[in-house]
Formats: sequence, structure tokens, C-alpha cells
Amino acid sequence: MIQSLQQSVQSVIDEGRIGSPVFLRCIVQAPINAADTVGSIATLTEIANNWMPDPPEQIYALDSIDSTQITAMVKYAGGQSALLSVNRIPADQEISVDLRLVGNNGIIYHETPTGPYRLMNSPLNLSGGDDLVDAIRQGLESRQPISVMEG
Amino acid sequence: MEKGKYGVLVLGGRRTHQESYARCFAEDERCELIAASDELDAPSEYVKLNKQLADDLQIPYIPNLNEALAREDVDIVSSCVQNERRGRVNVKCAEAGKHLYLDKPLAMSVEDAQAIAAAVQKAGVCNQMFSNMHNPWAQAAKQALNNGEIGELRAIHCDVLFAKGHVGTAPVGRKRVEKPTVERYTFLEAKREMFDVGVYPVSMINWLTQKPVKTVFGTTANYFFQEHISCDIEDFGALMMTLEEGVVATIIGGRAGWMSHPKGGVQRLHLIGTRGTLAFDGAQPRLEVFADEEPFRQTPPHPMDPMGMWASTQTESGMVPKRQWVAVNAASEQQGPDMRAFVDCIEAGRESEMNAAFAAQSVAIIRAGYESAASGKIIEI
Repeated sequence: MIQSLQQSVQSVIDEGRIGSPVFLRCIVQAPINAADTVGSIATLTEIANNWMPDPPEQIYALDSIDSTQITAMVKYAGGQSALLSVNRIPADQEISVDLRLVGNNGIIYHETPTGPYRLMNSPLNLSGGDDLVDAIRQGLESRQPISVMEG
Repeated sequence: MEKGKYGVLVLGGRRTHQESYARCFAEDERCELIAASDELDAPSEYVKLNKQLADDLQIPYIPNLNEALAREDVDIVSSCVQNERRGRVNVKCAEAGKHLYLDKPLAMSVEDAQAIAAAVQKAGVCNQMFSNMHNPWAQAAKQALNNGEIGELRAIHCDVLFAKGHVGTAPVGRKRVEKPTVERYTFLEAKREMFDVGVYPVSMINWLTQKPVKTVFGTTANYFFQEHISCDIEDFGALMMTLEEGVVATIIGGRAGWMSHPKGGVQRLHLIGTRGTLAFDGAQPRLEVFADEEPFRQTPPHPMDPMGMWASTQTESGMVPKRQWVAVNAASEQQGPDMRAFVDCIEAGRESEMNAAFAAQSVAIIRAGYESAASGKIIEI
């Protein structure tokens, strides 16, 4: 689901319909293991990084003591930013993605189908962003923003 | 209270929130608009706007605030003076023994906010800052939290983004250089959006959680409007906070353009708990209407209000309201319930849940957000 969503959003960006992406809000609820929350937020961060026109500079991440949730703010070199959250939910609850990609000339909105439409969702596969995991872990331990400048 | 009704004195004129607040008080059968007023030495352009609104409301304009406050038929002051003057004016109103309905944000500085809070407490008058807390979605969220429907709260995320203004005039990819202090708030063409809009989600989180904010990490930006760049103020802000008991909170506040949303803009809240999550939206439940009718079109910017902040200038611009989304619960689009709840507090002799002391917390948090955006550091409250 994340991959197809990523591609469809990218196609709208490429068409120039929202202008240049400036801010991403993405909140994901998924029945993941506590050990996978960091990897999941790293996946979202990588997706955000791919949509933004400038590279990331800094990431500030905070999780809960029981890993119920992890939230990150990413700041980019061109002043863009992102607020990303992954929330761990019980296995019997519905996966959902609430996404708003704000461009300087419009916004893309997406909410996954829920309720009677839930079976129209593809399986959520939060993979990727492995190279961000160490930085995010470092930030979680220090509870400070971490520089992630490339090069 | 004379004539069996609460007499309301309105401060602030056209192109302020008084345009709507005054009408809400007028619609409350327990209230009666008495007059409009301002400081005797108020800036002349504001006096002109004050008089225009007084004419619109068909009430007299009293040029000297001291005289207006001396009137015994004034029980309530609905105060929408410029943010820069709120500390001085609202303290004076409290000292005159008047109940105070306060525009948001409470004040520009923490010191002014605390002065207002101290003055209303000393005077023993009822006071409330405008907020979204009486909107149906906020009430539903409060009830869900109180009922423990998500278990223990772990995170809360709240977005308010106004769909107003003509975007695309700010240069792309230029990082905003923020200043740690806020010298000025009110400009003709724009306002500080993390303050002006961000106060909604910040005060919502304060009210819902009742947990003090411990740290703030923030960013501000100029994503959309040249007008904001010209005034050296932001059009967007985002904050990430830690609350007491380890709760994580985030907000965004900003203005993203007329065409960015089918209605007035994003108003969304997520509650994350140990037993599940819930979302609330200011535009739910709704009808969505697609018909062979004239679509919404943004009109050219009004020279006196290019951001489309005020109802009066939107009317003058000939702007047709967006009609595609229709609220199922009309109360979700009304401000009146907040004023009614304030009058309820006066009648019951109880404190408002968004009184000045509580609202002052929002000022401190947002000011810390500016400090963080300027320094790149986490700010402890």
C-alpha cells in the first residue's frame, strides 16, 4: 500500500499540480511489533525525503516508553519540514494512513479506506529507510535533534 | 445587569474577529450590545474601522474607553483590540469589573498574558478566550479521553490550516530565518500564522490533555505568501512538544491558500492511546455536493485584506462561499456556542475552562516555539 501510495503521490508532484512540496503530515496506525517502530518511522522518513525537493538536515524523534507510538519532525535544507508518526495498534484494529502533502500551490490529501471499505487496502509493507535507523535511534536515546545531512 | 440582559461593550472594529463575536452575542437572548469603544488615543485607522463596525451593528461609538467602562449597563467586554494593546486594554477592562470575552491569542507576550490573567483573577470577573473547545468534534474528543476509550494517552496531534489567501508568491526553497522574540503581530496584509492559527491546536491540546507542556521544538516557514515575507513573519509553523507524563504532542498552524481545501481548511485531531487511536475532524460528518453549479473561485486579493481574513472584506470582494461540503451538524461551523458557554459561566458563577490563566499557557508555548525555531534547540517551558 505504501509503495503504490508513494507512486501515486509522486505522479501528482511530477505533474506540478501542488507546486513544490513544503510540508508532509503522515500518521500511520499499524499492528506492528514494538521492535519495528523505529524501522517504520525510518520508512516514512525516507518516503518524505524522496518527495521533498531538498535533502534532510535534521530529525527529532520521540517515542513512548512502551513503544505505543513514535513521532518525528524532519527539517530540510530548503526550509521544508515533515511531521511523521507511527502508532502501534492491536492486531484486531484497522490499519490506517492519514496523509497531507502540502505544496506551495496546493495539497494532496489521502486517507486509507476504513470500515466497510477496509478490504480495498493493500497490505501495509513498511520497508525501506534502513540507513536512517541509526540516526533515529541515536536521537531517541539523546532526546535531541540529530543532524542527518547528506555527504 | 440592567433590563434583564447582559450589556456587551465591543472593542475592535471591522477587520477583527469582533465582526463575528459581536453578532454571536447579539444572537444570545441573554445579551444586548450596548456600544463600541476603544482607547481615546487608539490609532486613527482603527478608530475608523471601529466606527464602521459600530454602524454595521447599529450601536453608538464611545471614543473614550474609560467612559464606556464607567457605564453601569456594561457587564461584558468583548475585546478584539490589536494584539499589541491587549495587555493594557484588557487589564483596564478587568479593573473596571467587567466580564471579559477575549480574542485569541490572549496576548503577544507572556508578560501581557500573565498580567491579564492576574487582573481578571483579582477583579473576580468571568473571562474566556475564544477557542474551538465548544465545537462538536472537540467535545467528542474530550468525552472520548475522559471515558478512557483509547486507554492511556501517549500522543496527540492537531492540525489547523486555513484555506485562505492567494498562494504561490513566496520563493521556493528559501529557509526562513526566525527571530527569538516577537516584536510585532498585527500588519494590514498578514499576521503571524503560527501565533494566529497555531493558538487553536495548542490551546486544544492544553484543554484536552490538561497536562503541562515541558519542552517545545519548532519550525517556522514562508511557504506561500510574499506578503508574509515582506512583513518578516511566517505563514506556517509546526511544533513538537513533550507533555507531562511523557505524552508527545505535535501541531501545525498556518495558511495554505483558498484553493487548498474544499471548505475552510484542515481541522484534524489524532489521539493515540495504549488501547487504540481515534481521529476527529472539523469537517466530519458532512455531505459532499457535486452539482452543475458555479464552482468556487478565488476573487482578486482585497487591497485591505489580501489574506482574506475578514468576512467584511470577503463580502466586498464578491467572494461566493465554498459550497461543496455541507456540515451535517451546523454547530460545527458556528462560533456562537463558545460565546453562549461564556455567558453560561457568568450565570453559573463558574470559571471558564479556557480562562485567561489557562490561555496564557498557549502564549508561553508558542513563544517558546519561536525561540526554538530561531535557535534550532529544544526549549524547556
